[in-house]
Order: sequence, then C-alpha cells, then structure tokens
Amino acid sequence: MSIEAKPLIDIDRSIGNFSYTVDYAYDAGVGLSEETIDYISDAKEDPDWVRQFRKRSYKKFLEKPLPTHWASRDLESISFDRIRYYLAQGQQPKRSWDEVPEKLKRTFERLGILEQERRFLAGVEAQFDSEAAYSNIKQAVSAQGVIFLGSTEGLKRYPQIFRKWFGKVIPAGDNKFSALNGAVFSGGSFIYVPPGVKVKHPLQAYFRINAESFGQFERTLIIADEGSEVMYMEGCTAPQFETATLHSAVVELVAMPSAKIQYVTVQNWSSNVFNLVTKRGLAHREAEIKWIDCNIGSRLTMKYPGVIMKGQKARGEVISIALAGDGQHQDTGAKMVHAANETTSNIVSKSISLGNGRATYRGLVCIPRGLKGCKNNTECDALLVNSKSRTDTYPAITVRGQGNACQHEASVSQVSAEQIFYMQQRGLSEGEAMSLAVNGFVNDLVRQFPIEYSVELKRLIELEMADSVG
Amino acid sequence: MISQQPSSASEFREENSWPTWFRLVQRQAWEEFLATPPPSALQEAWRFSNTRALELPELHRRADANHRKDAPSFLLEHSIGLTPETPCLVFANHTPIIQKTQRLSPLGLVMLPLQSAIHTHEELIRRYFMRQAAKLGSHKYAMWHKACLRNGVLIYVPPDTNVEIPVEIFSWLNGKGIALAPHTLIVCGENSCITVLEHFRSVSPEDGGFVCGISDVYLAAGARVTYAALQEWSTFTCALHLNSTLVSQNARATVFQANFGAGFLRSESFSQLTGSKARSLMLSLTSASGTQEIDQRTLQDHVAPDTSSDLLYHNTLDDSARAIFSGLIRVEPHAQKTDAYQKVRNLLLSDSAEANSMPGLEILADNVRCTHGATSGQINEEELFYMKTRGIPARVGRRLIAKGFLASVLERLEDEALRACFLNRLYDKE
Repeated sequence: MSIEAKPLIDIDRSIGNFSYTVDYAYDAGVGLSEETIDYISDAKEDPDWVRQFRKRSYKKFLEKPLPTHWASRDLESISFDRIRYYLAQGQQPKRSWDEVPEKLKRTFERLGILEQERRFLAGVEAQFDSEAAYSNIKQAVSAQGVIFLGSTEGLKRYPQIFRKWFGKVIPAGDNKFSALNGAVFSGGSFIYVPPGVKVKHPLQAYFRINAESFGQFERTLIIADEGSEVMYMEGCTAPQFETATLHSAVVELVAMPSAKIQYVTVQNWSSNVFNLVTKRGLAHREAEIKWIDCNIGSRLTMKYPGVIMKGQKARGEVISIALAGDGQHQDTGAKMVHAANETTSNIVSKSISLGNGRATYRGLVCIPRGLKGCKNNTECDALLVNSKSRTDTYPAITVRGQGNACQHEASVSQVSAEQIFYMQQRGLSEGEAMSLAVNGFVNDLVRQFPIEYSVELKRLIELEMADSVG
Repeated sequence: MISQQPSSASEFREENSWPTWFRLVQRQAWEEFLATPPPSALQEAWRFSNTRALELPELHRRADANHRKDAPSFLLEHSIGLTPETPCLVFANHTPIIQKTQRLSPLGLVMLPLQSAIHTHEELIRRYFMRQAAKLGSHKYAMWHKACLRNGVLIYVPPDTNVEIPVEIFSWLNGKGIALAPHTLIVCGENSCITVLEHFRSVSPEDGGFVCGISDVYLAAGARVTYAALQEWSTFTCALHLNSTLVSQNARATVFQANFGAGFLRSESFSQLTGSKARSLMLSLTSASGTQEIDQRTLQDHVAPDTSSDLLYHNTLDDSARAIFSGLIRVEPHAQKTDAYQKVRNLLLSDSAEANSMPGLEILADNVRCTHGATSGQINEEELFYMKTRGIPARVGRRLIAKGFLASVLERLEDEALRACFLNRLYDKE
C-alpha cells in the first residue's frame, strides 16, 4: 500500500451542522468591556460578589498574555473584539420538553437528546448558546437530595454551597482563558450529591452553539459529598460558520472523602471552534476523580484535565481519545498533582491524526518533596494515518524523594500495511479495513465509556472512515 | 555575569598565533554574546532550570592566572586514562602540556591543538568550526565559547582509515575562578573509524570556575565514531557541554557521556541523521549528590528517511541533587521509516532528590516507529533484602545497586577498553 496514494480521510460532520435564526431577548453585543460585564451581571441579576469576581477576572484576562510561547500561534487569530459574549432567550430553563420552543426542541431532537434521556439518563440539562434551555432531573434522583441545575440557577437557589466551592479549584487567574470565563461565564451545570448518595444513572448536559461569532463560557461545578458517587456526561456541537467560534469553559470538581466522580466528555465541535477549556478536580482522602475525554472536531482544542490529589490515597485518572482531522489541532493531555501520601494517578491517552491533522499530548505530573508511596503511570500512543499527519508528545514529570515512582511511555506508529492488506484479502474495502484498524487502536479505551457512548463512538469512527477511504 | 571578554583586539594579538579572520569571528561572537539575553526558566528550553546558577561572579580574565605551579609534573602523572601508551593531548587551562600523538602520524590521522591546526589545516577549520548552531537553548554560551576560546583539538580521520586504538584528550582546570572553553572538533572521512575519549578534570577539588565546552563530530558516509566524555569537574564548577553530531548515510555515531562532577551542569546533545541508514546512539550516565544540578537537553533530529536513533540516559540522584532531562525526537515530514527510541531513567536515593523528565516527540512523517519512556523510582526493597540475606549491609547494598544501575548503560558501549575505564571510574567514585 503506497503512502501517498492513500486518500484523505475526513469525518462527515453534517450531523448537527444546522442553525436557525433566533430572536434573542438578551444580547450583550459584540466585544468585551466593563459594560459587557455589567450587562451580563444585570441580565442575570448577579449578587454583588459575583459581579466583583467577574470584574477581577476581566482585569486578569487583560493582564495575562496568550500562552503562545509554548502553544500554537493559531491562538493569535482569535479576535476577542469580534465575539458576542452573551446571547440568551430567557433566564429560566424549561422543566418539560413541551414548554421548549418548537425550533429549539427540534435541534435537540435531531441530536438525539430526548431519546437518550428517556432511555438511560437520570437528568438532563441542555444549554443553547449562553443559558440552559431545558433542565430536568428524575424525581427519584432529586428525592435523594441530588441537586442538578444550570449554574445560573444553582447560584441563585443554593448560594451557600455554590459560593463555598466556586473558583476554589481553578482560580480565575489560572490562565488567560479561565480569566475570560471568570469575566463572562454563563450556563454550565451545578451538581451537588449529598453524603452517601450513589447516583445510579448518569447526569447529562448538552452544549450547543447556535449563533455565529459567539463565545460560549459555561461554568460547571460538581460537588460529590462524602462517600457519594456520580457520573456526569457532556456532549457538545456547533454548526459550521464562516467565522470562528470560541468555547471556553471552566469545570471544577470536588470529591469529598471517599467520593467518586466520573466526568465524561464527548465533544464533536465543528472545525471552526476554538475549544479552550480548563478542567480540574480536587480529590480528598480516598476519593476518586476520573476524566474520560473524547475530542473530535474543533479547529484547535487545548484541554488538559487535571486532578489535585489532596487527601491520602486519593486517585486521579484521565482517559482520553483525540481524533485530529484535516486542518485540526487537538492539543490535549492531563495534569496530575500529587499532594498527599499514597496517592495514585493514571493517564492513558490515544490520538489519531488524519490528513494534515495534528494531535499533541501535553502532560504534567508532579510529586513534591516529602511524600511517600505516590505512583503515576502514563501511557500515550499516537496513530498516524496519512503522510501529512503530525503528532507531538510533551510531558513534564517532576518527582522528588525516594518514596515515589513514576513511569511514562509513549509510542507513535501507523496502521500497518500488512494488517490492511490482510483485511482486504478477507473482502473488506480499504476504508473498512482502516476504520477497523483505528477502532482496534482505541478499543480498550472506548470500552471505558458508558455503553451508549462507546457504541456511538465506534460507529462514528467506522462510518466516517469507511465513507471516505477507497 | 561572566566577563572574560577580550577587552581589545590587542589582547588577541598578544596571543599572537590566531589568524586575523579567526579573530574577527571571535569579535563578532562576543558582540552576539552581549546582545543575546540571558536564559530564563520561563523559556521552554530552560524549563525547570536553575538559571541563577549561570549568574556568575566576575571571573578571572586570564585563564592561566591562578594555576598550580607544579602542574606539568602533576598532570604528567595523572593524565593516564586507558593505558600509558594511548595517544593523547593534555591541556591545562587551554595550554597544551603533553602531546603524545606520534603513533598516529603513519595513519595520516590529524590530532592537533587548534592553535597549530588553524595554520596547518585552515580549510578544514573554516569549513567545520562551529558550523552547527546551538539549537537547544545555549546559543548565548556558544557565542561566549566562540569568543573566549583559546585552544582546543582538531581530529581529522582521512577516508577509509581505521584507527584501531582509541585516542584521548585531557582538559584540566587548574586554579580558582577559571573560565574555560574547551573545544573538540572531530571530522571523519568516508568509511573511517575512530574512538575518542575526552576527560574533563580539575587539578584540585577546590579549583573551579565556569566552563563552556563544545564538541562537534562530523561523520561522512559510512564512518563509525565513538565519542566518549568523562566529566569529573570539581563541584565548584559551573559547566556547559554542547555537543552536536552529524551522521551521514550509512554512518554510525555513538556519543557517550559520564557525568560525575560539576556543581551545575548543562549538557546539550544534538544528533542529526542526514543520510539514509544513518544510526545514532546517545548514552549517558550521571551520578549526582550533594547539591549538584544536572540539566540535560537532547535532540534526535531525523531529516533523512530510513534512519535510526537510540538514546539511553541513567541518573542516580542522592542528597539534594536535581536532574532535568528534556529530550526530543523530531522526525521531519520526508524522514519516513524512521526508527527512534529514547529512554531516561532516574533512581532517587534520598528524600530531597528531584528528577524532572520531559521526554518529547514531534513526528511529522507517518511511516515511523518512535517510542520513548521515562521512569523515576527508587531502589527495589526486595533486591536490598536479598543482598541483606547474603550478608551485605543495607548501606553497601544501596551503593551497589545504584552503581549497577549506572553500569548497565556501559553494556551498550562496544569498545571493551572504554567500558572497563568507565566502570573503574564509576566504582572508584564515592
């Protein structure tokens, strides 16, 4: 099989690639200034401390440089002055699909949200541009005291819990984009799971960007109290527009002693979205935080989910799959900060680069002085499908003291020509063979996704690759 | 700041023997050194580095200002590496003290102090002298080296010449507050073969200063070269070693470094594979203790198809020693069928030791096999227990395990005499 003759493989992104005109009741206009922030604060009836927090964050956003000394210079093509920072139809999310406007409902129906909710979800929140359009939690789950709301609503109804943890895991000044989010955040989820409650079914949020030149800045805060368990899943889409769109979320997780949080992301942004997200969890004693992250689409994704293991025997894990199509850059990775004895972390990252797509793994593992019995394991594997594909690996591992151990392994390879040839001998087309090989490459990770997602993921890879090869 | 600048052109003239064109090169390098800002840990190439270690107090301008008076006889006695007969050049602060290269003349091999070589082999030096830019962060210090260089060694191996015996170079640092710029240029013709062993030592443990050494190796098609450096500077030394190796078609390079000394060491090793079937092996073992800081940066640069490179670095870190390893395997778009490997292993022997690893990959071709691994860990308690049951005290056991861990790198060296020499130095070191 000659390398150059291999046709470009592309993902058909037509699913979700539609938009329609909306009359927004709230529109902060184009560009960012103190006035924009006041407009958002007024519209959302923010308490004073939130307004102050936004303004402090805005100052930090202005001060912080773009991280182009290490990241892609493509960041410089974001024009912050041409983005619309707040667009909403109303402040209150609907509790029943019947109340959701017809057009909007159809949007979510086409993406399969309703069906999924009926089938296996404990609760759903659907965000349309800046605010939640729909939010519902099953009776049985809310009866256990579980709170699942849009963050705007969560802040209003549970200020005492919200304020205690908000901005504590990721300070506004963490980086330029977390500062931007701090200034203009809107939407996202707020979840609180009371002590000992194990939420059986996943809670899901769905984020959709509908408007052109829009920035989505959701803020998610999940608190799993002592001994509780919760799984949260988020999905994202946006239609393809002429101009670039910005998505810059901040997600904070707090796992109290012995609690477990699993956070699953399946992102399928269109290829003009800058997806610059800060995600971090704080794990107390014997708690476990697991990020399962699948990045497909977007123009540039920069996302490094992290866990700070603050309590003894806490555990952190990041499982990630990135698929970088033609013209895309998936700059993803993981951060593991060990801050207590006997904490363990695991990172498994697999990436696939198609066409001239570029996948980057960037990692940080830190075990400070004086700790005992900490362990980290990192594995990252990259698969290159075309001769123009590119992959990079940039881990940074710091280990101090003799009571700890770290290991990192990475490999880069291509789909073996023999494998493809063998499958073609058995009657598969080149495209089918290629998609089977790629699926095989990510198979062990896909199995870690909830079953509904893993089937979707496999099918997505299969279908899209089979259509475009051969 | 380091200030060893030639304050005027006349100072160079005092040294007399350098031709005008070379003095001009040095003058320009000095300008560039001054114009280049000092490194900062905010730069990716200096991440985790303690760049303050490079902010040195005023150093003696004259390298030979403060040397031990009986140096020649002392060095005669101590400049023995492999065997007393091995061809060698010995320098004390840039001054050639011993020159035992007679055995090489019949082979047509050139091994000369740079000061004389610049007259006898001007073309070679014009063509190869510092042709490679320092790519891994130390451009400023490479310019300092170029400007302050007073001597060095040129080794030229003619085509089809197989030098069966290894050759040695000794660079001694003699005195306190010394600034040294040892330079080694090795140019190997087609299908030639040589092994070069370089020793970096301080005359007494109190001696020290600032050293920026450069060793450049050029391998023409089919050449086979082993360049080994044994670094035993005193801990009062802040040292930079910049190595670049260019490997042509079918050539095979081995660069080996053993680091035992220096308070702060920045080692940059760059290997470029420019022809098909070129192979590069990069090996290093480091034993650091006290407050030593070892900062290693490497680049395996595959620019031609069908090339292979392999890197293995082992570090043991005791007391409050720190190590930084940042290595990159880079595969250019047309360098298909690259096979590259990189492995760094750190053994932490104390609670205050620290290891930072940044093993990187930048792969722009698809038909490749590139892997890397990094581990940081401790002595296996079971191994220690086993030794205890055989009557070996824990303290001795630890030392043996640490030395065995370092010695395992030596197994990759083909030259037996070289392997034995390094093993002896390793076991002599306390």
